[in-house]
Amino acid sequence: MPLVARDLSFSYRDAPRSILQGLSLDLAPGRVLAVCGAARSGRSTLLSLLAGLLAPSSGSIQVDGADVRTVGVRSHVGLLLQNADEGLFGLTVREDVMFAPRQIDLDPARASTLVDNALRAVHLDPATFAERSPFSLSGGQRRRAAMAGVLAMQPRYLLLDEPFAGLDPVGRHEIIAVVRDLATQRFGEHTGILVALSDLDHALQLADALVILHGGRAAWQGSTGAFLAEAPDVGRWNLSEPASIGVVRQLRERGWALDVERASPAALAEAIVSYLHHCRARHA
Amino acid sequence: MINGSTSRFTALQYRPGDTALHRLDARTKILASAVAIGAVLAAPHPLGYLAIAALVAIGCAVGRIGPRLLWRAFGPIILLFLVGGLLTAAFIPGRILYSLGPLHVTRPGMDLVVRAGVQTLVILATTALTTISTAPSALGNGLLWYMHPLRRLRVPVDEIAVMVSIGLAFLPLLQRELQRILLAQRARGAEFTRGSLETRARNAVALLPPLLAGNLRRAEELAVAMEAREYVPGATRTVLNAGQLGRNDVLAVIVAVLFAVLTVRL
Amino acid sequence: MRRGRWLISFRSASLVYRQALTPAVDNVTLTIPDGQMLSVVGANGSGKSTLGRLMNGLLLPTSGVVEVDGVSTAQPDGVRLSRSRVGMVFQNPDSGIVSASVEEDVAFVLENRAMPQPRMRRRVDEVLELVGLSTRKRTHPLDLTTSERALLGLAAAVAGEPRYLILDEATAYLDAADRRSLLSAVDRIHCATGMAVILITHLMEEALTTGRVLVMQDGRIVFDGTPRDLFADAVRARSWRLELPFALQVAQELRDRGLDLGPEATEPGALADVLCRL
Repeated sequence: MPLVARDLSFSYRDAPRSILQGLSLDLAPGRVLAVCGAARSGRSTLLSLLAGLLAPSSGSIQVDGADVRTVGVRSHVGLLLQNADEGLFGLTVREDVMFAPRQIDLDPARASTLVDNALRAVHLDPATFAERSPFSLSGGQRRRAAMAGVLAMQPRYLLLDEPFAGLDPVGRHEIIAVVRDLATQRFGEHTGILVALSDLDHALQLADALVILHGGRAAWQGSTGAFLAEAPDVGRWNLSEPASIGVVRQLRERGWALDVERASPAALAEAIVSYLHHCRARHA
Repeated sequence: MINGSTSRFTALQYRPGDTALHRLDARTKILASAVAIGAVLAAPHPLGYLAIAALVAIGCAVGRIGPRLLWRAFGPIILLFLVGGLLTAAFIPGRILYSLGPLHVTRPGMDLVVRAGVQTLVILATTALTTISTAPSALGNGLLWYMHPLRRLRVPVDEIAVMVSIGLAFLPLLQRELQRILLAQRARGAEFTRGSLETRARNAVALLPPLLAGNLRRAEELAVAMEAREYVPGATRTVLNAGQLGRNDVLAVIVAVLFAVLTVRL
Repeated sequence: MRRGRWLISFRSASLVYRQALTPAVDNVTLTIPDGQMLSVVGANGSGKSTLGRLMNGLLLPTSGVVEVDGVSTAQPDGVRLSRSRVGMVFQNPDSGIVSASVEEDVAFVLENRAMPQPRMRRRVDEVLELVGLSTRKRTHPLDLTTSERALLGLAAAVAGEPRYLILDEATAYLDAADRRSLLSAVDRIHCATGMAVILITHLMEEALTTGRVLVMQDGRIVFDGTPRDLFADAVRARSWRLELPFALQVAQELRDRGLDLGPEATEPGALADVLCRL
């Protein structure tokens, strides 16, 4: 049931340079995939393509074997754009989240339940937030409200474009919590989540797998664990070395062999402690 | 820019270049355009139109603005005009030149169409010559230079100048923002080609909150930024690119006036 | 470089917004000497932005005094003076675009001072050279890359030769590479002109680069000292809703697992060094 992109290429009609070339990726339900790249690496274009809003120049994007651009299929993929404010259409949060159900003329009772569920899924209590104006909310809350609006389409896949932009650590952690919840349980099923990020640190802490975009191609693809194990030089992709990789690399240079699956401080601490035990056991 | 658009709107837009036309001061081009337009409106005899057409042709040649560009900008307007004009002309009584089924094209009618058509063309062409060869900010400053005497009538010319400059700066931003908002709507399942009229109308209205909120916020942020940079409404200001008049500018005005006189006298 | 009597001072300054229950800035007393580099950190809503805007007269205190170079911002000429001495770079670089070309945008502050054109042109060229935007002089600001737009905001703020430069979360929307480029330009300017720099940010890594850090919470300054002292007590830092630099977070997790590394592990290299000494 995954979302599958094969040999994706894209360039704008009057631009000679291609934005994406021969890109392939898989997004499975319940997994979190991060697409990382420097500015203008094609991240946002990729998301519009995967959501069926843009037609690729060549290649295919399919959900369950059906092309994502067919109308019935498109609603399986939800896209949250970078500027959440540009996606808030209602005078109240409820009205905004109702936008998608209204497009398909869903009956009011079902729509209302859907709205409440979507709000709960993004950790916004309907009783507190539903009747407020979206613009009276904090930056992080607005982004989550916009996410609820997309979830009201009941998509199986959720694409987030730079969801942490402009948020302080508290706001960021709120979104991370929502993403984790959605991956493990979306109204009873698992949602496949793809996050476009320029900050590798955030990507490594959030995702199970990683695609690095450079020059319109996938310069690196694989699991987060594999990335941490390899600790590649990201400077050649115009990215900044994430602090987690920095720690791993610095220790490796001093002869430590760390085995890390995730890039969170806790996971790294665990790996360090277990390595120290391992060393002591050997020396004993 | 990614939007290599072929829309009519961009056909009139400033195209940077280094022709003699580009190098003329904005104020000169504004004056020349005004003179040309005045002449073509006042010309008593169609023969005068040849003179003004020659002036426009010289302008195009100097500015290296080809007929294709002008066609892209005005083509549909001209066609629309022709059709509308012929229909109107058919209703004016007079000596019939020829008939097209129930429509009779008369001599006075034809005169009217030709006259109005040429006038419109000249107005459009001179405007295009000016806007294509002059940077928007220079154009704004030029227009406002002419408005300075209005200061005595308490018209806030300097403030208008700043507002025009800001408007020009923000235009591309508003265009792109609208595109992104439309994309966001499509991402939420809005189909612009299907759906009931009610739904589509509702979607159009739904564009307002993000547009308005975005622009209100932007206006507030901009006001703060301007204040931080010592902007005081009503205070005297200077302008970086105030423009300089040279020999070519005087020459251009003289040429324009000459042709204008010809137009009116022929 | 002038020194000594040039400074920004807050004396029991408070600001309560109309219809607000609590002050946005609460009884702050503070001195920022000429030429200093300091950062102001705190959670959203802690008052850091408000503090910045009190310095250039964008906001006036509802009680207490804010003075720039000896002149209170509340005095008739105080606002104009404070704005000419204090430049500000905003979070959203697009919010300050006033013109369709880079050079005119940078010139805005000079135009407002009715500076004669030849002098303006020289200064504009100078500033563009300083931030590295000389080749983009006639470009439309919206055709610039994100990084260039941030540099434009910086150029527009320093064109008027301020003595104090405030960066109001100017890096919030920038990715790591663009942040570095902006901050290194700020550094260059600081070294070349001796301008004081006040970095308002929620990124701890940035706070580490300055010698003095102010932590704000609920409108009050709860810490004023060196970054090292700030991070020495991680629990306290967390209570102020600050996110520690990554390496320090790892150190904190290790402490929770019985391994105390001391306060030096502020970045990956240092952390590795400390671990290896075990």
